[in-house]
Amino acid sequence: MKRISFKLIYKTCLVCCLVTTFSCKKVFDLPAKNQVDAENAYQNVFDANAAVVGIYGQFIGIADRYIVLNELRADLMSPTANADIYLKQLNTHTETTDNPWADPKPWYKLILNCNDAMYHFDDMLKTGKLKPIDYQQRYSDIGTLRCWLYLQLAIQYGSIPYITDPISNVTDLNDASKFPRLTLAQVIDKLAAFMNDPVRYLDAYSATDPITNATSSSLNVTVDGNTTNLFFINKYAFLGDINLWKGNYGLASTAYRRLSDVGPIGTNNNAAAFATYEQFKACYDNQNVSYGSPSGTPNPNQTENPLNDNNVTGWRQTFADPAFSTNTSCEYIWRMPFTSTFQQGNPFVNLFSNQGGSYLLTASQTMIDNWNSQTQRNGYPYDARGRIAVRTIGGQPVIMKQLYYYLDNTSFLPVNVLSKPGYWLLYRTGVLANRFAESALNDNQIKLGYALANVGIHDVFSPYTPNQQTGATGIPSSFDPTNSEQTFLPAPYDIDARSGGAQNYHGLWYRQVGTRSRANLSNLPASLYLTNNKLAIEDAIIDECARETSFEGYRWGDLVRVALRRGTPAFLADKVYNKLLREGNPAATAVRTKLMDPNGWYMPFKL
Amino acid sequence: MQNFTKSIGLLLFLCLFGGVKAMAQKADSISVRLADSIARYKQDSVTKAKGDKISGVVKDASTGKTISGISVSISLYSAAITDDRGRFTISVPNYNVVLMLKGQGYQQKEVPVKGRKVIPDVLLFEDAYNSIYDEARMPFSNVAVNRQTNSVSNVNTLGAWEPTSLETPDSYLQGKVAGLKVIRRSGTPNIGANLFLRGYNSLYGTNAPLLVVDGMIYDTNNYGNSIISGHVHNPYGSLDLHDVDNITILKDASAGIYGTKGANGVILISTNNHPDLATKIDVGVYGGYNYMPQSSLLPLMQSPNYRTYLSDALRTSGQTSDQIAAQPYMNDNVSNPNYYAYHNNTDWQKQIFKNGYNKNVNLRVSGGDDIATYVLALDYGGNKGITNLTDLTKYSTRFNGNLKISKHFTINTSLSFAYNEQNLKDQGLSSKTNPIFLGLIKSPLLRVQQVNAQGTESPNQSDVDVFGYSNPAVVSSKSQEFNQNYRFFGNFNFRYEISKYLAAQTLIGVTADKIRESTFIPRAGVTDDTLTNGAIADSRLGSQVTRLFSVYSDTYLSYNRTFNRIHTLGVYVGTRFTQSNTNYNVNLGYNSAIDQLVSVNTGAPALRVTGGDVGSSRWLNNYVNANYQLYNKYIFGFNMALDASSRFGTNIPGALKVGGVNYAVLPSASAAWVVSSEKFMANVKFIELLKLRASYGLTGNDDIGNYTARQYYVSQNLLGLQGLVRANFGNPALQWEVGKKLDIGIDASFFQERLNITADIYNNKTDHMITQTPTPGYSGLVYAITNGGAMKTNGVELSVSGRVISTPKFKWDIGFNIASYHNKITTLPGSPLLSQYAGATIRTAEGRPAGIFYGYRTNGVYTSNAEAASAGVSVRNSSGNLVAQQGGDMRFVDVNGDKIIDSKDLQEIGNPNPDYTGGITTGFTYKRLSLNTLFTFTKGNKIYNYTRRQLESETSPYNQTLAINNRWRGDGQVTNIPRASYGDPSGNSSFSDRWIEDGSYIRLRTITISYDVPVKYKYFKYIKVYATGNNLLTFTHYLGYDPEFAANGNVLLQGIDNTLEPQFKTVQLGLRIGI
Repeated sequence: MKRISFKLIYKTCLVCCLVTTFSCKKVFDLPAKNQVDAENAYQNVFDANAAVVGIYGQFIGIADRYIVLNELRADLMSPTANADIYLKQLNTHTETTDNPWADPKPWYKLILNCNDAMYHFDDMLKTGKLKPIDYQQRYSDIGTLRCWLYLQLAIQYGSIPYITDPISNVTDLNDASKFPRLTLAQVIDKLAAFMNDPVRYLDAYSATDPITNATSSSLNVTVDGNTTNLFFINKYAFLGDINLWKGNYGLASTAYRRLSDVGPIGTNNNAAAFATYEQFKACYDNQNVSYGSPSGTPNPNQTENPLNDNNVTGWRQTFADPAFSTNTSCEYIWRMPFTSTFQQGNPFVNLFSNQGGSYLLTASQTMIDNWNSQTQRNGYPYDARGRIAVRTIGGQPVIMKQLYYYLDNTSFLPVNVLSKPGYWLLYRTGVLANRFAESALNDNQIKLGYALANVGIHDVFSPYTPNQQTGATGIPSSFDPTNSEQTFLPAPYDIDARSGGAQNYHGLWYRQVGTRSRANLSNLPASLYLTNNKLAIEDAIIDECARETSFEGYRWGDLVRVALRRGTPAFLADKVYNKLLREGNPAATAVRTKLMDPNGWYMPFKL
Repeated sequence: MQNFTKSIGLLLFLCLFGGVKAMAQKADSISVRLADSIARYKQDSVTKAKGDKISGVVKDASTGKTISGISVSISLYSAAITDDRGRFTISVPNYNVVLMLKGQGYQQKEVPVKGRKVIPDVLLFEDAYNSIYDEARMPFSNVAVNRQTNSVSNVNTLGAWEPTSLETPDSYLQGKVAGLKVIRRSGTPNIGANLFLRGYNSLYGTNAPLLVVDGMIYDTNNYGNSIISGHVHNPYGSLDLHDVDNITILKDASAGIYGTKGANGVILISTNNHPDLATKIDVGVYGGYNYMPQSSLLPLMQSPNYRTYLSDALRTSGQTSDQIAAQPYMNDNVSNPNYYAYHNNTDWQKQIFKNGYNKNVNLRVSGGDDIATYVLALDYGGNKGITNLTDLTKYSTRFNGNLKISKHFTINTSLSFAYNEQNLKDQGLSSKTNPIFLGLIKSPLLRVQQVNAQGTESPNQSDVDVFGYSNPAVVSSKSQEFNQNYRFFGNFNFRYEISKYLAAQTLIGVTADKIRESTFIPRAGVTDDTLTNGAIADSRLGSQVTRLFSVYSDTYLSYNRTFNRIHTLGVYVGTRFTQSNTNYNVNLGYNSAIDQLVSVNTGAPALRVTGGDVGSSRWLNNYVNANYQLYNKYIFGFNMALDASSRFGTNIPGALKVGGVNYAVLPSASAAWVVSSEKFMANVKFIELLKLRASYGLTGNDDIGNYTARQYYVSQNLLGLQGLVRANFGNPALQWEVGKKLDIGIDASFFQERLNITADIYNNKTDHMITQTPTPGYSGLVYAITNGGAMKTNGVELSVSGRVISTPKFKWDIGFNIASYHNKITTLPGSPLLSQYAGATIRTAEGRPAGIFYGYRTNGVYTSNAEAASAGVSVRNSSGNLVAQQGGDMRFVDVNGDKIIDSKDLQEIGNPNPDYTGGITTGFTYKRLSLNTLFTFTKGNKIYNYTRRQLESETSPYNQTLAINNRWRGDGQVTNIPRASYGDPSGNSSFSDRWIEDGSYIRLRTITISYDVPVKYKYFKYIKVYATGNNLLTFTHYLGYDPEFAANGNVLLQGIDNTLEPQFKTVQLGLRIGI
């Protein structure tokens, strides 16, 4: 009896030991059931797609932050009386670390997700879970988005921790020594190196699997009426931008030129192929400021002609087109939608609208002055874009660019206060045109820079000087453009804008006029390029950027870039100073003093 | 290196124990062989006959008469029975033994001989007496208080026939156990209580003690929140209190035997045990009346006062006098078509509270034979509460059986099934749908029913009023919210006695629990809601199902033996394993076509929201428990738990790793010295028991989230595309919270048990406490969940009980317990944490207790504009702009003296932790009549009265209390109530000490008068008639309905009155018959 019991104990103990030591690891390794456990993620191309989609889904969440930081800290946007202390801090460059707008976490959340995805893409490639072509498309896309995010961080914070490893351990996080900070210049070097790596895949996602022709694994689809291709960052655009920042103007121009030429290029003289000539080039007949009948030069006795100010024509169409039309498909390069069907709410309504929103931000007075100081070719003493970008509603100036989908097209009352559709327009032809101009100019193609920003290659590179008043060049019909109306420059500046003549030439760029002429503004004086006045043309380009792309999130970057390039902080400081001064902000002088030192440009980085 | 050392240490330790066991085994076999021999038997008998003897007399403690038939024994040696004169004589092996006395109807008692040859008269009390020899049902065996080495409390319910049907086992414990703070959540039937044993142990993990019912863990966690606002499902509500025999509470390191589930102490409940062989039927029937006297209602304004207030408030809203006069409620023209709709004086508060009834029937049948015994219990109850909003119907059944398969093999089973269904209404912070809240804030000018221009009432109830507030009468009569839940909880326990000393036992059990909720809020009469996507929700519908299924097993070997009557050793080695699967799914719908369509599938398809969660966890707990007694005087206990869990991280620094699994190693030890059993105490006659004890050990808390340690991905959409993003980093170092518990206590009894005292002093430390650790900016995370915190709680407890008067006819028992704890957060990564709830700011900071209210201090009201101007203080409003203060504004204390009242001027304004809590019991018995009372009290805890803040903010058309009549109205007026100010631009109603109140109270919690009817017929064993009152008297300065409520179990959200159904009074009559 005793022996039996002893054996029993012995056996039981043995079994217990075996149970507790060997099978336990599996017993206690329970993958998360309510979410996708790390061990079940990244198994195939669909998981890779899910990672891309997830990151972009999260990316929409920083739309307001991107706009607010880049505009309010610069000179085109101002807080209203409704703005809270934190927005006012951005306005006067006195951000405290508790300012939610100055919190770097939303950016890093995305960056670390990008890092995690890229790490796993590498791993999937190694283990054969991802085909090289699928890998390259996804890796380059997420990598470019990460670069975009880092550039934003660097221009807002100056020096930032540059992390490319996926952090997978909470304890690693607190070791700040593992995350050395890089300065803006160093970050730009890193980003340029990444983007200029020839292995990058720069085109859009292919619509079908390059090998099997299957469409199911593609990220290039249509969802809820939107083509997803526009959701993803345009890699050529960013390649150009980062080289522009880096000072590699040739590379930048190559990328911009490549992007500008994108389009269904058919036969040269197929005028019906609208997109051939319009896509990604600022042209005189698309998204242009125009006036209804009676047209032409107004009779001094006549009242002003009505501006084409509706959702489906003219410059307003860029911000209001109810459909993704032929016109706007030539303008949009990167655009993400907000719909009321899904969770991501449209943050712009609250920021800008005084109906159904909090009306926290509005156009700065200097921006309004800028528009009002222009003269159009028809002699009207203002830039009509100002009247479309900012409207007076209920006696208050309201930034409209982001609100056209929310407000009714004529009454400017909310269509439905609770439904807040809209878009986040991240890159478009208007930006591209001016960036290309800036890049060409700084690559010492001064005449080309002038032509890209203003008037157009066709006119500037023609023997007939453009007419200051109308822009019409008065080219006689007998003129043979065979050896004219083109740059005759080496690539990437070898641009053909020929039009007409005996052969009925239609060079790819013949309709291009630049955003300034597109907005019907009078030409800049030709003396600018004739005297090689590079700085003046650059000033004009940056000024034009303000009028064309204000409130869209480019301004701060433009000011920082040019101020750094010139080594004159005053370029930036004065613009912000003038905004504050114009609005009677008592902090104006102090802000100028702070911004005169480049170190004063940046927000505190809260660790 | 450290791990290596630890594992070696562990191995050595196990070897040591193995060795002890093996040696014990040897000794065992020899002695048994001897014992089996006739020679030994003879030798024994002769020794006993020749040997020493001792004799004494046993008497009844109250009558003083001698008792016959009491069994007197010496363990493993000899036994005797008292004769008709109460005398006994028994052989003793020596004069150091302990006599055990037992007898029908009497307490059991131990009498240490302590070298005496003649024992003084032994007095025995009746078996219901709260004695130090009462046995606590410890995890492995029953241990009387006088042998405990740990701090253990023991509550015998004696059938729990007297409490009202409102009582659940958790609320029943209120005031009965020193150190167990029981806060009933509200007056809603079955809602239960928050239990905090010895203060707090965790900030983010559970603080609820582990509940073990009949040897199996009874899961009291909530998986998924109720969709009924303010409602908390109470798993204790599925345990019928009538079935509970004994509740034993492990308060110190002894809870470590439950490893990483024991950090908050353990409540062990045993049900319907020890059935007699004779068939017995107990029937209980009772019914009662719930009421709330008018005097308990809050003093709200009536129409005249309210109208004046409203016009004062509206005048500050920017409206002109003409605009105000044009409002329908200000237009006094009787011919105005809206006149009758807006000229009333409705007491909305009174409409809400309706007195209700409760009833209960319970039946218990027990019996059996030598082979099998059983107890079968049935219970049916209903309780309508106080508002007619939350009426409950409950059914439960339980079967406990013992089956002897053979001499060595027994099977015990305990199976229970409970089903509850309850009508509920939104409570707490739901300003549009909480009828109690609406009844307080609704303007008295309005009317319950619709009315036409002639003043004729329609049968239809009024819609949302001109201010946009719901009609509370609609919410209480037309909204439909139900909760149905059941729980099956059952286990089989197989026990095989391998030898006299060695037994193997295994328990296997299952918990199956399901909670189904459905809600419907009509559109008519209820303010619309706005959904996150901007849509308007008029009618609101919901359904939710929460399920829990868990399998539990507990297998152990036990070895119990006394060697030479000197050493008593008990060793238990075993392993527990549980796998829990939980899931809930929730469907919310909105805008069904008409208010007659009430099920969730009739909601507008575009607005449907579905959600849910699934979780599973596994837990393995290997344990060793050993206790050793030397001469019945020196007692030692040792526990060791080795836990593995699917919740733990995979790489915990310093943890024991076996086969790639991290183990929590949680040892604890305890010792006691029974001073009174020493020889030198033999002549100190007034001391019955004097025992010193101490314990120290580790416990753990595994409530760290099923998957927190793991890295996982969550869904993220991009329009209609579904993607995945990383949700967290995962924390492979995530581990259990470690609770280090030190306890030093004394158990004493004097004057033959007439006075019993237990006192404890303890120090609990929580290390590796889960915190939301701030992470650097580049982490992208708001915080990470790590084991970065630490906390400590120390305190003292005292309980005293005794029989003051003990005469044959009249007995008076009194009991008193009091406990105090002091909690302090000792380590908290990052800056102090501020949490927001119900408009309150709660600060969590190092060096301070958890849950501190953090707001402005006030110092009266500016009497005039001039005074305010000269003070020159401004308030920073929510958008950061400064608003200058004016006459009638609150004068807030400007801590930093910068003349700006902002977040820098916040300070601690109240601590919701009490100075002390406790209970007082008294029992009088006069002949067949007895009167028992329980008082409970708490002192020094602060309450944030959110409800009063709504009723005294003076910022909206909410009805206000009468205190607001005293508001500041003009220059020079000295008052402590600020001016009415619409929208409150000057922040007068900010979270400040104005809303903090003293929550101290003393309450006559229960009082019971019962009468034992003399039974003439032999069929009846007894008939008891009784009356019980609940909450009849409460003494408090608190201005709300009642100072006892719990909005939330979270330690940071204690003491916040968010308008829940208040505690109410109940009187009931009952009859209990034994056949």
